[in-house]
Order: sequence, then structure tokens, then C-alpha cells
Amino acid sequence: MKGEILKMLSRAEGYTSGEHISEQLGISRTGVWKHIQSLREEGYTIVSVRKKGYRLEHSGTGFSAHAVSSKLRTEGIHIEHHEKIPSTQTRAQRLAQGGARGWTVVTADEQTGGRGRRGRPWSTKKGTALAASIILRLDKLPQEAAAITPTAAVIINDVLQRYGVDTRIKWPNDILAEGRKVCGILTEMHAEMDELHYLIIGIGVNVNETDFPEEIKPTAVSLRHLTGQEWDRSALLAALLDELKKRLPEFEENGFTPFREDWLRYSTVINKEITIHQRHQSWKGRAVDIREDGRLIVETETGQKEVISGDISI
Amino acid sequence: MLKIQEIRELIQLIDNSSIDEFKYEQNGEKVTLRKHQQGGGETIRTVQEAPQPVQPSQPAPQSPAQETSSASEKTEAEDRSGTHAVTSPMVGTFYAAPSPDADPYVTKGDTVKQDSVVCIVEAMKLMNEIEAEVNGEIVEVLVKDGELVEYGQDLFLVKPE
Repeated sequence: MKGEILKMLSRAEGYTSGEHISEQLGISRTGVWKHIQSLREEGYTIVSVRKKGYRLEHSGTGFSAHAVSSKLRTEGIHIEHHEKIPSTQTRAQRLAQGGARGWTVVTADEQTGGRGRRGRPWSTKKGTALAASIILRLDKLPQEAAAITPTAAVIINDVLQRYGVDTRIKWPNDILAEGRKVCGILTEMHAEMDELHYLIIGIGVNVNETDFPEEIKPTAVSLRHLTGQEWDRSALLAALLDELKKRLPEFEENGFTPFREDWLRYSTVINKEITIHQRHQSWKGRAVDIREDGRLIVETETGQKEVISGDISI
Repeated sequence: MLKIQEIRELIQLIDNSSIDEFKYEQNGEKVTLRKHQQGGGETIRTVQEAPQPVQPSQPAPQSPAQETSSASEKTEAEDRSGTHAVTSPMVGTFYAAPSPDADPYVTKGDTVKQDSVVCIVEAMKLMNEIEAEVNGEIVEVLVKDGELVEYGQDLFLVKPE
């Protein structure tokens, strides 16, 4: 309800009367007032003038469920925000197991035990990064689902490009700028042989970091560093969610195929000599193409190989 | 590429063993040897494919796809009656443990519940935690850590309680 009120206020030009809000949302005038008070406590500056109503002073750069909801242009996305949580991904899994509907999104201002690929820690420092886990219930077969990672990379890359950041995609799940990682994507699936129960796309974006821990310093970069300005995380997340919601039905319908050309255009690995690091071995080759199921095609001295797993260094 | 002599030796070895099927794959070259025991006579079928020219002197980079899976083939011949096979719902890499130096999720002899995670199958950073599906005991681990698995491939045999 607070999100709805915030949405009305942020869309309004000038004042919105308490009466109008109460009629629109079917709540009492006192109810409206209580929600306004609660929004003020969250840091929103809402001016109230007798006989005129309420006006949102500025939409706030705070990261909260209401801040994100008020900036979304798409319907049907539900945000569950946490000030501090061990992992948005684990929380989203629990919600999905409990029957949460698709497009339920878990976000956090601070993650204390975030998970990266293969159980590696992914830390999110308070107030700087964007961490979100999106529950998806897609009409897809489990064996077709893996291509969602490169698909999501294309969509996220497009949004960042629109903000004027020169990003590139590194197979299969990283988004780089100036050769360093600005965003990582990790997807988890729960499925039986012929039934996909749910997918959870975890997105981590380095947004307002001014410094990184020593071990990731050489390979990480933040949007703030790239653009020289502080970013509004809730606006960025709303833009990412809007774009994913708009374009994932295309993936549901036709898979990775419609995204493949864009992927190739923005790929950092195509026509490069690369090393593929797999769990028990590393080997070299030249990346030449990506298959319609997302596998990378690599030319080696002994012929072409299709890569389904691994980390790449260029 | 395998020499005729090597294949001949393989046939003899398999002939005298309890192995029903033998698969060998390297550098895109595949050899499948299979015994058909019904109908009295024994047939051995040899398929050799070499889609790309192979330079024998070059040590080939080994991807999981190219590891032999003879260990798992062997167990297929064993008695599986009364066991539940946990299968992979997608093509991907089989991970027995959450990280290379961690303990495996399960090993032979472990007791599992139907929602116990027994392994991860991963493709393009989509992680699929596979569950045991039945309460029981792991009686066979059919795939090695890091191996490529196909859609529908058996990964574990579980003896239900």
C-alpha cells in the first residue's frame, strides 16, 4: 500500500489530496496519513499542506522496496527488501519453495553471506552495491533453461549501455567495463526431468563502491568509478526489472536465438585467444561463435569444441 | 586415433570380461564396443568416427566431454533392481562437491532424504541442485566430479528405505 501511495505521489504534478488517495486505494484518510508517516520515517520528504494534500519533495536515493516499486513502470513485480540479509539468493529460494509467485524479487542493502558461482563468497557492502534475486516461473523445459544466463546478460548490458556505460559481455555470465567486472549473474534452477519449478536469477552490480577488497581490486569496477557520479540504486534496479520483464517473454517463446546477434556484438571473447578454466583442467583456444543454446564454440588445434562450463581468461 | 591392433586387443579384453559395453572418446574420435548376448551368437559392433582431422602428436586439451566413462558403464551391468536412479534434467557439468576442495555432497553408503542435495549440474552458470527424490541409501555414484552429463543420464543409484 505504501508503494502505491508513493507511486501516486511521484507521478503527480503538484499536490495529491488525501481524499483522492483514500478513494483510489480504498483506505481511510487516517490510513493514508499513517502510511505517509511511515514513508517519512523511511526518509521520504513528503510535504503536506492543508486543503491541498501531499507532495513528494524528492524521490530519495535510498534503497527500499517502496523506492524501487515507485520507479517501476511494469506491473506485477513484487519487491521484498532487506536492510541486511545473509543472501538474497537463499531467501528467494525459500520463498519460491513456499510458493511465491514469479517476479517476486528479493533485494538487500547489505549481504553478509552472498553466494557467487560455485559457492564463492560475494560480499555486498552496506549502501553501495545492488543485490537482487528474481524468482521466475517460466514455461520452459529444464534442458532449455540454461540459455537464460546469456540472455539476461544481453538485457542487462542493454540497460547499462542506455545509461551511457560502455559495457561488454564475457561468456557466460559477467558484464565488464574497461575490462573489469561490473556485474555478475548467477542462476539457480529447481526442476524435475520434464518440469521446471522455478528459476532464480541473482544479479550483483557494483554501483557506488569507491574501493574494493584487495583480492578483487584488479578485476572489479563500479558504475560510480566509470561515470564519476553517485547512482540511485533503486532507479537502476527498477530499470533492470522493467527491461527483464519486458523481454524475457521473448526468451520463453524463442529461447536465446533472438538475443544471439546482440550477444555476439557485445562479446569480449569472440575472435580472441582464450584460456578456459574448468574444475580439473585448463586449456586454450580461440572463441569463434556461440550456439543457440548458449554454448561457446572454441577452435583448438584438434578441432572445434563446444564449451558448456568454465571460466574464461583472455 | 586408435590403431587396428589396439582395437583388436580391446575386443579381446572386453570379450573375456563382464563388460557389456565400452565407449572411448578422444579428440572427437569415438569408439563404441558393445556385446549383444541374446540370440546365441555374440556380435561386437565397432564404430569409429573421426569428424575432424586429428594430429596425433598434439596433446589434446581435455574437456569433461572427452573423459571416458567406462567406470560408469561397468556398473550398468550390475544389478539395479530395487534401486532408484537419480537422473540429470539437463546437459551440463556434474559437480559432486560445492567446490574443488570441499567434501562431496554424498558418497556411496550415505543415507539421504528425498530432498537431500546429491550434486549440482551446471551449464552456463545455471546451477541445478539435484535432489535424491527418495529416502534411502546411495548405493552407487555413477559420474565423476567435473564430467559432462547428458539429459536423462543416470547420476546415482539410491536404494529406497
